[in-house]
Amino acid sequence: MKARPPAPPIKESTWEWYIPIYLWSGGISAGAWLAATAEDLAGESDRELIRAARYIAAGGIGLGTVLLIVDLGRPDRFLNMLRIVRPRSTMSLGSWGLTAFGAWSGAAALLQALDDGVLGRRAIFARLSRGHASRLFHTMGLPPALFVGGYTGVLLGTTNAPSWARRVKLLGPLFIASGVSAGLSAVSLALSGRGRSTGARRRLARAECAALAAELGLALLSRRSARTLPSGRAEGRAPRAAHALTLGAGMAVPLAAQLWSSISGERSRLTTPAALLAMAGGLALRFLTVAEGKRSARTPDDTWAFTGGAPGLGSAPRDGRPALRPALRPALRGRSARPRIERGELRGVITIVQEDRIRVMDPAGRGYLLTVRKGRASQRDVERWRDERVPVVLRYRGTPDVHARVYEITPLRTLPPSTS
Amino acid sequence: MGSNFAECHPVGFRFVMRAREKGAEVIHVDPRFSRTSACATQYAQIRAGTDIAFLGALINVVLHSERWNADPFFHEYVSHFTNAATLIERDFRDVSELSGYFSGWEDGFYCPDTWQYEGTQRVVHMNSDYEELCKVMSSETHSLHGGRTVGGPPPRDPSLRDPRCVLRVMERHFAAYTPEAAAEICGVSAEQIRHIAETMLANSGRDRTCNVAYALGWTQHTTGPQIIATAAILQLLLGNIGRPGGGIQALRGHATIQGSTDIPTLYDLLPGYLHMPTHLPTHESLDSYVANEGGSAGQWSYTREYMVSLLKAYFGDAATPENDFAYDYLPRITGDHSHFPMFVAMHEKRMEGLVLMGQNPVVGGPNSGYALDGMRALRWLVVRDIFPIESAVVWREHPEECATEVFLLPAATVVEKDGSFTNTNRVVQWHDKAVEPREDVRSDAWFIHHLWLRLKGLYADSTEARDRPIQALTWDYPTTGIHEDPDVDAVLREVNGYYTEPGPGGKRIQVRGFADLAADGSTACGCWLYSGIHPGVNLAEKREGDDYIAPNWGFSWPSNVRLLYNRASADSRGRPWSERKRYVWWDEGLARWVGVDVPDFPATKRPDDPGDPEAGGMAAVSGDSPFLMKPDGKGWLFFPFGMKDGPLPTHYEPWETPVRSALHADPQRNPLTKVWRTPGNAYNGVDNPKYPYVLTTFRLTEHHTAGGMTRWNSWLSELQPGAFVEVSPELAESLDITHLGWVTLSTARGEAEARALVTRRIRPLTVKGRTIHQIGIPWHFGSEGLVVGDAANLLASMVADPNVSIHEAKAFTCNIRPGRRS
Amino acid sequence: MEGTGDLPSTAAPRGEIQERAGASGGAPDRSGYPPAEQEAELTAGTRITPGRAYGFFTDTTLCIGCKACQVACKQWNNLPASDMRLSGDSYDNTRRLSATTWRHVAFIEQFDESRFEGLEVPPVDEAKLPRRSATALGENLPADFEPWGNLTTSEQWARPGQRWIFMSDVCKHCRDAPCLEACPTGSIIRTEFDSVYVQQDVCNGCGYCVSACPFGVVDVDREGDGKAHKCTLCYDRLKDGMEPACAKACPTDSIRFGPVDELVDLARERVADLRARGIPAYLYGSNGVLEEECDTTRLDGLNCFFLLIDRPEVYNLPPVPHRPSSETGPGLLSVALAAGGLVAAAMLAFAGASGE
Repeated sequence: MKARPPAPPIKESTWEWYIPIYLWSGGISAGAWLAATAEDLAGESDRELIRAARYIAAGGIGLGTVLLIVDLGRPDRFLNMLRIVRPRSTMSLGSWGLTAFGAWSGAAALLQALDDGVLGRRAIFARLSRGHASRLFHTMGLPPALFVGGYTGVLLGTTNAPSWARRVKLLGPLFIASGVSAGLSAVSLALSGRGRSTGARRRLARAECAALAAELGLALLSRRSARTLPSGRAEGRAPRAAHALTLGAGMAVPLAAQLWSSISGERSRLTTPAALLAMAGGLALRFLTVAEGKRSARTPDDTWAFTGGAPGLGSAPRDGRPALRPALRPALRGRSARPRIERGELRGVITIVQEDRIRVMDPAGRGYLLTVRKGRASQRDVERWRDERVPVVLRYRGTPDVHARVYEITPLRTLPPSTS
Repeated sequence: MGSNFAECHPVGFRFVMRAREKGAEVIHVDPRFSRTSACATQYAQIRAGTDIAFLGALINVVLHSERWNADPFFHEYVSHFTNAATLIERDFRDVSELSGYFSGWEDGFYCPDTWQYEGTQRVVHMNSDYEELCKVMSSETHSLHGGRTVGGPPPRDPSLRDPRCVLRVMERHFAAYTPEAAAEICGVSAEQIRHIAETMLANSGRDRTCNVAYALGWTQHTTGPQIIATAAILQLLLGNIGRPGGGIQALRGHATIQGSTDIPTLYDLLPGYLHMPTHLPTHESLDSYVANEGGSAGQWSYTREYMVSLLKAYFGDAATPENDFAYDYLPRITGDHSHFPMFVAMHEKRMEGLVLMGQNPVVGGPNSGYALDGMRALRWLVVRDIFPIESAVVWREHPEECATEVFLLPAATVVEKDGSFTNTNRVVQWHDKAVEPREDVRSDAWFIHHLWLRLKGLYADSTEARDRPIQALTWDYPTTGIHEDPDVDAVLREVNGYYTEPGPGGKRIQVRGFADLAADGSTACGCWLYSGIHPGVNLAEKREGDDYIAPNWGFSWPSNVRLLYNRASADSRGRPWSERKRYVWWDEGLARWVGVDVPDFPATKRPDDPGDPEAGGMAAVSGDSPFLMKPDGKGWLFFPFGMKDGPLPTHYEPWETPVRSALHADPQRNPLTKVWRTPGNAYNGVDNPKYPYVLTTFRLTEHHTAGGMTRWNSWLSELQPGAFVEVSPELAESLDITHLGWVTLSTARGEAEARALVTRRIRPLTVKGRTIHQIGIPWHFGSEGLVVGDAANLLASMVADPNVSIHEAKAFTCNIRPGRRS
Repeated sequence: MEGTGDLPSTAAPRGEIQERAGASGGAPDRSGYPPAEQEAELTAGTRITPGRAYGFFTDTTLCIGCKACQVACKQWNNLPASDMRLSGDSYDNTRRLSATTWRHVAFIEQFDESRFEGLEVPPVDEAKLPRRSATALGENLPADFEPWGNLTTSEQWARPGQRWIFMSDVCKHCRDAPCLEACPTGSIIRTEFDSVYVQQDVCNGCGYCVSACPFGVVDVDREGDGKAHKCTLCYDRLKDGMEPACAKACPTDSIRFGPVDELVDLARERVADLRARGIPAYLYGSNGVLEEECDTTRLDGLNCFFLLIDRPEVYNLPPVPHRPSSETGPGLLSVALAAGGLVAAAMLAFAGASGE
């Protein structure tokens, strides 16, 4: 049994495995919604693509919400999230964003379902779910969608886990980029294996290139910043390999594949596996990022580095051999602790005379006990100086209160010769 | 020194911290760097069991310091208030002259004739010879309190020049204790010893005082009482006794353990430190008892008053002048019946039953393995405690081999009963019952009360003479509450004392204090020392505090004196030593002693009263003799009697030690040490290579003594959740002991395992060029409760000091090895 | 005398204080003082009035490591004991604050090779010195400050390299509390005593306050009721005019309870006194007041602040505690920008490529 490692100054996040999955699925629905919107506004309103995108968006949010609730300490109280709006709390904003987009994408899915004829074919459904109504609908849903896709990064960033907090401006963009890429991939997967709408798939591929490129770039930046912390530098082989794999297989490879297919314009066999890889990459990225934050919170030196402290100063002794911790100033530590024989000068008034012992009070009001050596001053003089409160200057050897001897004492004011 | 003040008395330590923040020096001398050291302004790490050498060196430095010899204060205090000036018998010889023994050594015991003041002689009324008595005394029970000393008053030399005056004798004795010599023994550097001595000297005098606080770190040695005596000498020399801020603070080991010695649970004491009569001729009758116990002067010259009043309280009307106030009803001591002999007797089947009330010998008793076996050999065992402690489950291992019938009776906790605590400062504080005990839980008072009533019932119609004491013992306490608890207020009234002649309406009239006690049976008093605590109203209940001595907070014996011997707070002519230290002084106008405290002195005795030796009693002591417990009223720098092992403290090594001291080749150890050479109690011996390390037991704030009250409490247990030993990194390295790894300690008695706490708070000492490793082990743990561990006392031995039979758990030897117990 | 143990005599003459304090241990009905009078006036010398900011001043130089505060806290709040394991971390077997430990005494052993042998301090090892410490204290100290300069006692207890430091840690009740700002349910509130309080009937255990706290104080009791817990500054006691359990139990008054403004003045005097004795003391959490080694102004200071004599890290405290909520705005802005970029890119991508 070894001594436990030093107690970290901060606590790591209590989140369990559900959360990274939510961070991912939320991103996917954002991406899917963006696909639907773009297709509707800029593309050719391919019904297949829009249907898939709407269902994926709603599904992703649904899954995410469930996972969030499961992760609560008291799931029965999840509605308390909506008691208040707190602009300074990323999670509060997130809860509301999630609610808004959840409702929105839910409505979209419902329209789609009606359009698909769950309640039989009616012209009114088709009109509601397509054309101008649809464009307006998608556009208005865009802001909440993108918020849900990106706030999750800020959610991690606005904590005290150094690895997250240091990257607070980076994680948001990174998560939304990877959310979009994963979302687009999800849509294109849904479309694969269907003969028609090759145009839609090409459009998706082109968009995917942009998203993946952004994701890869931001991921590299984020890596670099994470490595500036002690926990990042001391990272083990396994996590380093995992990160490399994610960047490579999860981002770079699909990017290449999508580039190829969008340039060649051929319907490529690569798109499906590329989409799968991109989605997996997005998931892995989130798991790894959450792990980084927890590890960082467990590493005291991260906190010291992040809060302007000095490393190696955690309060817990390592294996019972506490290292001498540096004191406040080097000046403190060169000195001998034993009151050495030293010389000193003191000015003040004498307050107590007891045979050869006197107490002198300095202007600061602090008292010193000293012994007056024989023949340095007659006791009567000393007593008079005390009575008249004459300020005196004295030189002593030794340490006051312990064994200091006064070898020179002179009054700063001369008294008339005593009449006695 | 010898105390872990901060950890064992955290509430009292509040005042030490306050003093430190006012600029006081707080010096801690201890084998371990404890929480107390962490709060001290100076710390010295000493080898366990070398306190006398250390203190002796301080005395040596003081005696030879320029200031002590120059400052008239010290000369006045010492020459007037101590026996420094008194001359000692011509043929007294010091240990330095007789290689380790004082004169009077007759192999096996001391005959203190040569220790007397010149011209005085101890006269003992008995028909067997004095040497015989000394032998019996030293081997068996306590020595005498006073004993009549004839001759004298002894010659004094106020100039303190005479080579035979106490001061010079003592000076010669401590001449060997130079800081350098002490450094060789204690492992503390000579310069640090000097520095500490200088600090104490600088903080003593008219305007300043030092206090010495000790606890079981001093008592639990084969030289325990002598260590304390050394401190007393030092404090007397520095003029720190009987003055505010001075004195020697005995920090007691448990709540109200002070009370349990005042009104004792000890086999050889009666209430108020009256000695239990022995079978010896010295005690055969009340007269011989008084003659031998009562001093010729001072407080003890009223022994008859105290004893008779006690007997009246015990036996009421059955105690008459004709039958010596039923003196013969008191049992007699026939030998040493202290803790250890009891367990030896159990092993030898001489003892059949045991009643334990709030004691846990299986954890708390030295050589607890031996204690356990002893208790397993009993026929019956009654344990009253609040939890099923180790001592209550002695049958747990191999029940088939244990014939002991065990009765575990649930005891009430402090909040479930009325009663009093007597704290370290002798202040008795009353506490009230907050809740009634539940179910079968009862208070100890209830148990004793009803047990005794039933016993009396059994003996009611016996005609045997030997049963008379039981029949005669008065037991008329009213009962209260749903459980019929005895009314402890009535007990306190009896302790205070009353006139046997009832007042109007048959109401008892309480005495006002022990001055009222009479020898003619007109008063009854349960404990003369506590007399005055309940003169009609229970003073222990008073709660009027202030920021100084709080005279109206509780009651402190004797007669609510807060500072004992406080006459010494004024100079020989009765004037305060200084304004700053004004406490009790002589008011010429009122012609009496006045001050912030009750004068611990005859109120109207003039400071210049010469005292009349013929008169005896208080009249015999002079006006400059504050120490009324001594016949001569002086503080003793040299003890003519009272100590069995010498009139001056001398450093002997602990019974088990890795070091041979350079002071005197032989004896290395206290020659009068009480040892029990029985199977199961082997000793490690001196400098035994098998047991090279010094072991010292200690306490933690988080647990209380044997853990009966704390190891069942989760909030406390989580704070110290298991047995451990403190070892230095140096020792750990040399034996590859890993931090938190298991280690096993072993002595000739047994083995105990614990986790190793490797810490730099422990430092190896260099003694005579040799590295001595010390190990600390908390002794709270046992096999039961929420947190368990081996009891440290499995390792300790049954060995005791000759004066008060206290064991030596603070300094013995052991071996240590990594790994678990076999 | 500054900073240390005396019962301030603001409430009543001392005799009375003692008498009543002594009596007030029992049930209210036999406490012997009129209900109008608060126990806090007798034990802490302060009258607790809603609307005033209350807190602790924990003076580590007076702590004797008795852990009475820890036990008193668990007893009053009826908190379960945590695991019974020997930590090997000096005498500290609790090691950190948690959902079931709201007071925690840290034990910091600082001993060099030679230790207290002859009371020597070892030569300084420049390499070991942290970057900031070399100057930080120096800059802010009065010019005439001379460490160990005018010692009148040996002050062994304060000497680097041979000391054992005790520190009773607790929730800091920050003025701008990150946990409160992070709480999405509004269960963490600021009470009328300016303390930070977790409403147990609202908390849903999302755990966001846990990662928001810069001091690792609040925690979610995952094994237990799944809600967040931390020191309440004995809200229930304050309501009844009693000072918090830990402060009342502290034998050396290392923990002082009172109105924060008064406590800061007290602490100022205490620091001045210690520095006059050559001990480089400073305050942690007093919102800039004598904060040589730290800066807690981002949290607008702490209602429960500390007097320290070594660098904050030694006591496991961040020198410059971080306030996460200050990053929410910038973070979301960056998201908005990134989102904009992605939308534009997507539009282009979809616009540029038609079917066939």
